Amino acid sequence: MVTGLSDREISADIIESCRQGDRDAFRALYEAYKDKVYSIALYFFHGDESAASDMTQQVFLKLIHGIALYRGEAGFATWLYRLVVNACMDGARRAKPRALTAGAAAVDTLAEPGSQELDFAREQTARSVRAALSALPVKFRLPILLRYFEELSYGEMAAAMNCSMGTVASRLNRGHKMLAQKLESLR
Amino acid sequence: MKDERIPDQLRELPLAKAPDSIWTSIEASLEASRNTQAAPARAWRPVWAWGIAAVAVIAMGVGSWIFTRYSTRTPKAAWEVVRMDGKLTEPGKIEVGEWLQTDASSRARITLSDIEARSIGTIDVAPNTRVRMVASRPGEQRLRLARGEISASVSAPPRLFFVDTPASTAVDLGCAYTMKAATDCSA
Repeated sequence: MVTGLSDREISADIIESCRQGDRDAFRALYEAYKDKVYSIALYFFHGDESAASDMTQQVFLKLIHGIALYRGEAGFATWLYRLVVNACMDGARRAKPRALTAGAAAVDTLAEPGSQELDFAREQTARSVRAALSALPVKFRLPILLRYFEELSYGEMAAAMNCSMGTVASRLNRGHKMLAQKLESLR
Repeated sequence: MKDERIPDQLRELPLAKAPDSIWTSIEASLEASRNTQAAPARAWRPVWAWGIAAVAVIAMGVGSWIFTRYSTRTPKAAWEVVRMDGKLTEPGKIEVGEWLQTDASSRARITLSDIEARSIGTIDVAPNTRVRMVASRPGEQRLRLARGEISASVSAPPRLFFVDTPASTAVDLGCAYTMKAATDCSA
């Protein structure tokens, strides 16, 4: 089984193997991107692990079922993050998860493996950033997550979000300013 | 194009680790759809092909309905859910991929059954608990405890029933036990 590939190491061979239905190739793709996709979902959905897991599963199932349609015109990562953006937007439209009972409290913290060993100050900072990120409107939150976790270029972000590079730049600019304003007290 | 400065605190956010249960769920979904999955999609088909496809889909839908309505030879993987306290808006069954969530005044009991509908134990779900049926297949019955508390009494052979929590995975060896999961990764 091939695991632990970085973004840049996803080769045409692996994608072609995925097209042929090779389960190990799918696993390699999953291993390469799972944490980034999950992190975006986790921060997008205000730290709701369940929603993040659902979205991550949904994205990779769509990837598996739709990879035959991927023809390499855009970068693979761009195509993948377009799926992520669409799933995030769909999730935002569905206000509540399907549940058998109502009245669930929102989850407002994130799971961090090994968080007990982190120092208190860093944890407090991280909590503040999460809260500030969660408070951003969706259209500003998504580009910041794509920029921060994926380091996508403006062009890649524009393709993933189906908008112009100017719009991406404008939303990033405003999002950063809003975040900076909220976090100013921490500096 | 000039990039805006990302607030310093944003750079300190950790990348979250995707839970192992996501891939398990993906595999379960793939397994479930393997027999009904169509051939790899092509980028373009003529209009008449879509017409034939639509007729075929309708025929398959009718056939599937008739099959599921009258056939009892292939039971669908599901666990029975009954109310203990409070109210459940949709009591009955929980299937692979679905969540069961209790509010502060509700408790529920899940009757575990294997793929051939044989009872293998019960799980009492405490108030304010969120669980998900991750997998039900030969050799693996898997539940995800996202938060809250469950009490399990399992008569299945050892290493058949698993409970994923944000912090770890519990492997049942044939006993009765109680598990708690908090959103801060303690379990």
